[in-house]
Amino acid sequence: MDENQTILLVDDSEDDLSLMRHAYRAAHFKASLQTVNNGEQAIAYLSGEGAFVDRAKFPLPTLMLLDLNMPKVNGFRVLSWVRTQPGLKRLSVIVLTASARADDVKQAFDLGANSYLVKPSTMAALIAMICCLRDWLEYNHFPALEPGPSVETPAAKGS
Amino acid sequence: MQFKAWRGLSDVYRQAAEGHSPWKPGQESPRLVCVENVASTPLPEPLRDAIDHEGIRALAFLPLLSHGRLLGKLMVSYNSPHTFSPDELQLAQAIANQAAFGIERKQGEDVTRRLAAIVEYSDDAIISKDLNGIIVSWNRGAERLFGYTVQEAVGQHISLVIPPERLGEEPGIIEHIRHGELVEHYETVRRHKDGSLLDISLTVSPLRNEKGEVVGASKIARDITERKRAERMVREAQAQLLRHAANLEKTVLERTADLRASNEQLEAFVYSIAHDLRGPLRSMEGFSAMLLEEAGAALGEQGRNYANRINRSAQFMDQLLTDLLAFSQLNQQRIALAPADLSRAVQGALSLLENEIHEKRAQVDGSGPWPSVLAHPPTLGQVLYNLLSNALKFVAPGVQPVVRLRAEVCAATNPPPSLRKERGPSDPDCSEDWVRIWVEDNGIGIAPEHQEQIFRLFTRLEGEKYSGTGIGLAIVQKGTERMNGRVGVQSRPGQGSRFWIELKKA
Repeated sequence: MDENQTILLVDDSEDDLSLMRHAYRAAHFKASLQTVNNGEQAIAYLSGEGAFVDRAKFPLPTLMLLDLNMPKVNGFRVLSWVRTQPGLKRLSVIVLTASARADDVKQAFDLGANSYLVKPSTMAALIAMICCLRDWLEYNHFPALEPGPSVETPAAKGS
Repeated sequence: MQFKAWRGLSDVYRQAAEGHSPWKPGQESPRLVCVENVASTPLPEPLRDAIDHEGIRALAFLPLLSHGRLLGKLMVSYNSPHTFSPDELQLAQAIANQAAFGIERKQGEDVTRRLAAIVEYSDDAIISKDLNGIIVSWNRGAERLFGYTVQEAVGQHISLVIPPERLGEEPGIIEHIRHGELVEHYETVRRHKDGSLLDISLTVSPLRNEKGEVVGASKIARDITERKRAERMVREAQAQLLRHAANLEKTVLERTADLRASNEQLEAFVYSIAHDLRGPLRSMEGFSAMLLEEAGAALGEQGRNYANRINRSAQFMDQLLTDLLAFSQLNQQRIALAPADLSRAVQGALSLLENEIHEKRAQVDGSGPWPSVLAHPPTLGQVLYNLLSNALKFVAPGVQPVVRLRAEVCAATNPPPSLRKERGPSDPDCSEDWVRIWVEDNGIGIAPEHQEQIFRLFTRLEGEKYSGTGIGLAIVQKGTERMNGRVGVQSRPGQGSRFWIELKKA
């Protein structure tokens, strides 16, 4: 992974987004980080719609870190939407959530998540986790995503 | 033999002679006895005296016979010796025969009258009919049972009292009777004059003439309406009971489902609280850490101190939430007990605390042998982890923790020094079936007066001198309880502690 690649972070908590940005800096992440605040925005970003039309400013990400508990359109819906889009279904999605419930883990993998991470409770641990992520990204080979028009599905249209 | 009629005999004689008979009872064909001269005939003593006294010199006894059966005797007596001529005896015998005939007839009439009374006044309905089914006799019981008077019933066909749907029974009954067979306790339904139906038990027997031919039937009808009603009531009561039982079962199932649902709701509630509380804690910890990192120098020593406290509090609270969640789940979950590998559980706890063991340079001996116990592996792991963590933690400053974990199979002669009232199985003494697991340390020890309260939630005897949430031993106790085991401690201040838990051997 390099500077030319983008990670999209989706989380409805501004606090968590701030903490994550700090951890990224502390872990010396090379890739650029884009953040959105809710599920609808995540879909809009990936579709290149609305505020996110400019792909120069908002490049398609290689990896999405996805929170689960978000109002209206939650992480599960975003994930299942992504897996139906021909140009997006190979997108690497890592669920990053506060929930450690077994049912949530199952459902995430059933919907096609590539990994499931639980937000740790201390900054030190978060930094350690992000370092791990960074190292993993060094080794992982990512598939090409053919960019294409978004497919209309009920999930994309409002809640 | 008793006097029934006499002429010319005194009371004295009669009294003396009462009961005497020239013939033995049951003697076949008793014959005429003549005593022509009393003086020259052997007689029983008391009788001779009576005869002499009475002045009787000759006697004749003539048996009164009916079909060879002795009914009585005719006695003629003379006050002088007498020779009986054949004509005399013939005449006497004729008289005797007439008397016998009359007596027999009267006896028969007596019997008939008695039997008739029995039939008439019997509670049961007793009816007789001829082979055509015409009612010949009808007792009071029948009047009461069927409502028809004897005048209304006699001469009618028996179908008078048979409901239409049962008319087919009559020919069958008559057939049995014709063949001389008895019909006993036949349960059926008959009809009262007012149309109401009666539950009846019938016994029908053949009536024969002198030639032995069947000429009719005698029916005894017993009203079993009450019995039938009682039977019906019992059946209904049984059905009701079954319905109630089914209802009850249904209610129990529903309530259990409700309870399960509300338990699940509670669990979801507790979980979501813990989950939601964690968010702000993450923020508090994270931002205080960032504060220290990015603005630490500018904060100054006091500022850094404050930021550190905020950070530590957040971490502590997070630990509290974790422990509380663990504790609450011990109450919620249905845990199934099965044979569990103790050695594995011990290894699990040891590896979780690997870092701490290393940091404190602790010596921990968890070598076996480890028998198999009846437990729930995750809960067992939690219990052992908490006990071991405590053992590593509660040492005097500067002391290297030395911890020994071992198992002991209880022998019957070695009852456990049980501190707590036993829960689960009720045997107070230790039996071969239990395994006691010891976690022994060289820590600060616990005074006897505190050994009860340390198991309570949020109790930290040493306060903040040692880290911890005060939930660990509550988890140990609750977890052991859920596995039907017991827990306790042996300790003195400054002499280390020996915690033990007991689980059933598997």
